[in-house]
Amino acid sequence: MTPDPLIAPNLAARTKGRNIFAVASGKGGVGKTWFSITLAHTLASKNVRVLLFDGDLGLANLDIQLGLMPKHDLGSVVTGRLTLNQAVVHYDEGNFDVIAGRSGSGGLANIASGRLQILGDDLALLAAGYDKVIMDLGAGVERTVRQLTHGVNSCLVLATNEPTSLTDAYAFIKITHMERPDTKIKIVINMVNSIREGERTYNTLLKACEGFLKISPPLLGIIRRDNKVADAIRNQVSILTRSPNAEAVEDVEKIAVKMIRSD
Amino acid sequence: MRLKTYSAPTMSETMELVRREMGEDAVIVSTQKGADGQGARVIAAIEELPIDEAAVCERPEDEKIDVIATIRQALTYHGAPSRLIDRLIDAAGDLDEEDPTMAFAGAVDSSFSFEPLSEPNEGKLIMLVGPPGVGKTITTAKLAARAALSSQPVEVITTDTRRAGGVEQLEAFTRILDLGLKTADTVKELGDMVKALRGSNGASSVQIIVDTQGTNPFSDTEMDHLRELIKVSGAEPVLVLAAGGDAFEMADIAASFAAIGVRRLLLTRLDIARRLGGVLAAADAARMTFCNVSITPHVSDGLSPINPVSLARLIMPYSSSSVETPYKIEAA
Repeated sequence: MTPDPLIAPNLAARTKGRNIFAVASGKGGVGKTWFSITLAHTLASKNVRVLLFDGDLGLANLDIQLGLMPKHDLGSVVTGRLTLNQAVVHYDEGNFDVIAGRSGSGGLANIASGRLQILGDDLALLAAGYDKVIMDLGAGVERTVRQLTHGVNSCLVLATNEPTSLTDAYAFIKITHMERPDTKIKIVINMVNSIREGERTYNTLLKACEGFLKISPPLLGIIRRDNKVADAIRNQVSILTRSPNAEAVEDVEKIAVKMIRSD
Repeated sequence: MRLKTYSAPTMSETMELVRREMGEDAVIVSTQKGADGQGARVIAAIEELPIDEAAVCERPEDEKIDVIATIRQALTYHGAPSRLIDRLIDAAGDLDEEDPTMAFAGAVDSSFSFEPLSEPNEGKLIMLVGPPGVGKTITTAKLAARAALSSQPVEVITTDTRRAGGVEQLEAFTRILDLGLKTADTVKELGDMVKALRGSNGASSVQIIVDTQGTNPFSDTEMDHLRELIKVSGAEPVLVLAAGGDAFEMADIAASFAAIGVRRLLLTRLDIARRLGGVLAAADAARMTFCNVSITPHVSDGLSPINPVSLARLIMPYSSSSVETPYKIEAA
């Protein structure tokens, strides 16, 4: 009589991460946080229950972009003063939930991997109460960034047409693929002048992935450069609130629809 | 990967530039017309040789884990009482151990005692006690199954005769195991039953397992009744508690059972609990010895023994060198 080994205590394994989407880029400054917020807001506007999680442990700034003054954040969770669900704040304008990081402390960047794993489990449990969880990752490819992507539904890799962004996006894809070949990777091209240019940029990245890694990550969407994006960021509001008819919003909307359809 | 853009008047000249600088392994990732539609523009990529990271990195990610901080974080997460946390951390700090889990196991070893219920033992008499709904009956069934499967003589008695379905639940198990089930309605009945099973000289080798009704630890009447059951049967009482409860509540409950002479603690529902501060608080407050744990509702999968290392790993499932999968206890 040898029963299957039972895992204890690990409820999270069952539900783990099936509806969590990590937004990554390798390079900083390509619009990860803006994209995460806009995607979350767009999904929420289509009656999807969304949680937006600030996974940028070093330099969290989701709350800054949204103009939130969260009473609680991840810092209190990691030190054990709060459970993860107690750190959830509601973003009224967008009708979605947010877990803010600890802005500018940098203290979570070196979180022990064991603690981070527990945080990941807790997030997976919490995610069961939502339709989709958008996780805004930090720039870079270090351990904490990679570890948060373990077990997520897919990694949405954001890149622009700059060679540095393409190189860093490729680096993220490569490391993720080599560590966990079954991770689903989807490409989002941001800040391009036209859809045509976006396709060209995607094809460049695709050829590198096919040539060196023998994988073909699909294109999830192309977001056109739009001055209204910077305007919304400067004013610390979601672009859906400030310029709901912007071209960039239209492009993110297409991505959101694709994500909803692929369920 | 290194990306570079090459331009020349014709495509073949551009490709020649690529070949000369990047070699045969270059991958062309984009070809375009040059500026103003003149000439050719090619973006090529090449993979650099991987760096042998072990040779150049100190692996700062792995070195210098703060043992004390890691243990404190884990115990705080589990909701252990702060005084117990401080005490365990002091004990762990004395050990000079670099792996947090092993340091914590050492602290657990010096602060708690462990003694699994031994394999079916001739002549043992065990009584499972505890508050309602912690899994006493299924634990009884597991112990009986263990004895029956190793062909040890075993008798099962239940005093849980008033709860609707109390007897029937256990009977469903004993029937499968082909064991008889005796019911004792009163203290005297239990005493007589044990005497009869033991024989006149008390030397019979049969193992006896007694299931009891749920006892309210804060009711003197109920606790007095339980004390009488223990006394008249001469059984070793084992407290059954479900993991995952509030730490202070579990501590009070365990202390209350300790007051009537219960010394061993058997934990159930470890498969559906994530916060184990209550388990530590209970054993600590009542000075109880951990015996076995139940990590499955399946009777056939039994009760696993537990020791300081396995308990430490349950509390800190990810803190050892391998963080990929949480610690598992194999079902017995």
